Amino acid sequence: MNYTLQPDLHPDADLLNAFAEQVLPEREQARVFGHIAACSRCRQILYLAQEAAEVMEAPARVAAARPEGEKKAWFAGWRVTWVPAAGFAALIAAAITLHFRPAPQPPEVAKAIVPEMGATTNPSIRPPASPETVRTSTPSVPANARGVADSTAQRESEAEPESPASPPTVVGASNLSSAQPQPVPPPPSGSGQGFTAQPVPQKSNPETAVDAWQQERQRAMEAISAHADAAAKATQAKMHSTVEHMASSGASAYNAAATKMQIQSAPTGGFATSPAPRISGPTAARLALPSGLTPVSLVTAQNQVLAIDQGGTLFVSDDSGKSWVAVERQWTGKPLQVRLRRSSSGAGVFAAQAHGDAGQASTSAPSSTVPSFEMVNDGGEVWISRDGRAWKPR
Amino acid sequence: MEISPLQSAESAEAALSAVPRMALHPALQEELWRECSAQKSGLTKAEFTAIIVRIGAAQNCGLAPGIVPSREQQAAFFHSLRLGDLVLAQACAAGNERAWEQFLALYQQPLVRAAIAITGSDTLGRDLAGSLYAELFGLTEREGERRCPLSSYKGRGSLAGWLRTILAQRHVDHCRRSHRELPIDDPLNSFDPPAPEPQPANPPAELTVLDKALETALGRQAAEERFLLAAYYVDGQTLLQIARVLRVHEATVSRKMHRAIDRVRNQVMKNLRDAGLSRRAAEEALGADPRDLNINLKKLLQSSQPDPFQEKAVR
Repeated sequence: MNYTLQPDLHPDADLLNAFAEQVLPEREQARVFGHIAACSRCRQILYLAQEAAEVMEAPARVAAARPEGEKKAWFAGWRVTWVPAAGFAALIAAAITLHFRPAPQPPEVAKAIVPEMGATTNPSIRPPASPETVRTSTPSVPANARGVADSTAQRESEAEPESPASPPTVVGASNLSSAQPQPVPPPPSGSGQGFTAQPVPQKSNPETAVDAWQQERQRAMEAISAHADAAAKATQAKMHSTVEHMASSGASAYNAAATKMQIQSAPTGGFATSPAPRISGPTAARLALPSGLTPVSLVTAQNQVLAIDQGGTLFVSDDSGKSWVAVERQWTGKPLQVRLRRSSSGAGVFAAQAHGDAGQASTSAPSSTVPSFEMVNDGGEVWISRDGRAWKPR
Repeated sequence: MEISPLQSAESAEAALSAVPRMALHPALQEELWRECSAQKSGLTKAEFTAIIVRIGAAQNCGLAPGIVPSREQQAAFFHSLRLGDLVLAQACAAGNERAWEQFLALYQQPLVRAAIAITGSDTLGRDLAGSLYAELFGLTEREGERRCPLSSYKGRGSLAGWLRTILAQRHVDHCRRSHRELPIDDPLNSFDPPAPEPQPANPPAELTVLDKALETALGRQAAEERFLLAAYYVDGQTLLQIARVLRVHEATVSRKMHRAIDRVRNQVMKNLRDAGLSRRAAEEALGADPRDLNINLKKLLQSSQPDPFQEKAVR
């Protein structure tokens, strides 16, 4: 008997389905197992029903996983392709960056070189880098190099005190934006004149890079020196006109303007805080003191001008600097700074005036007031004078 | 063509009233009414009560005939059933139109997809699903009566699973009936009587003993292990497919398979030893080339006669 074609011998659909869903008791399940182990027809039914169950349940699972109304993102199907695409794009970007990246340049440092004695008085031998020059040329100098220059100059300044025979003439780039006098690094022994910014090879063999950088800097300074002079002249003329205007506009307006200028020019507290005032190259070049040295401090009151040269000699001029007279020494120590002082009426507030960009500090008194001068020596002592010639300690 | 259920609600109710009655506890009736939400199928409470009484009386709540089930036994019986599916199927079989609407909304499209998956063809699948729908609507008659296959659903499994199994049954039966039908005019399939099998030479005695030992060992295997062996070695199912049928993990099937093979081997060894072979001779016999054996594994695995089931398959 071919029992596989006898339907009465097979479990019905309800029993087979209950067996497939594992809801039969053990006794009935073992009975169905015994049947399907020998009945290929019922096994085939189970296999096909299982395949159909997977097909029927798949859409239900998808619908359950995604709530109704939620739209599938348009890029969801591309999710797998984003990863290799992003990696490929990153590789291309890296290759382009490496291809077009400029060759690394050695870090550069600005180095202050003090001119020889009398160099500033000779118009043909000017300091190679005025502040404007330095400012113009600094974009090619990396910021870290400028920082190194400043720190190097500071170290040199600390290591070697100021020498009257070799006055500092140049400041680093960090001093350019302020009229505040800054400590000037002393010149290295045996160095040439002028400002040079020298490359600093990274901690080894600086000489080759220094030479290359020196040549490049020299060319740049020569190219922009004319612009620097013009800018310095324009700035000085502007400041003079401003002071004269303030002097004529009354005491109150003058005080306000002077206070403003003082704040702008001396953010750290004024002249007394700077132990070694510096002067700019162009100003030093235009002032011709009898000693031939560069003035380190000067003050103007009407037509009277007082100046201290690098040797500590005080000069006074009654004709706006055309002729100079050396003042006999009546003080102790080395004079470093001369300035206007307040008169008893309070009208003689000195106004800081920046000559040049290197921090040269000079003062001008309003023409309507009686000038009174102060001089500060290297010991911090102050002498006062009304005419600039007779001095007494304060 | 307009198709309507085979019976009206009134005739169905009249038919239900003819079934043997069973005392059903009123509280249980109320509980079952709330649980299966029969009102969604358009059934009244009286119709629902008639259906579940008929179901319980037909199976005597799973108890032996003659035993009066208690309320707890009735509750346990009905709670073990898919009562919602069962009520829907019975309501459809009784001709309730709202039940049919719900049935179509729930199962029409899934049934077509299942039929396509079973047949592997869109056309055959839709034909198969359509023919089943025709039967479910009661378009077939037997002995002058319209019969609905849904009335044979007893609620032990899900109604969807029952429908899938019905589809698979019909497809398998159709294939088994028609696979020997060949077109007459097809020269490629023209009848070619097989050549007479050569008379096998007398096999060695130890191989004959091995055949018998193997046949005995397979016959003594547990039903589940024989099913695993048949599914894997005869039907060519993968471990994953078998695992899905049995709803266990693939590793579980693999472990059971190895265990079954080891048992068959040990049983064959035991049978060979019982047949008078020494241990060494038995091991040598087991190492014989299977091609030398006159063994049809399919025949061996299928030789055991399954227990006849009293339940008739749905025709």
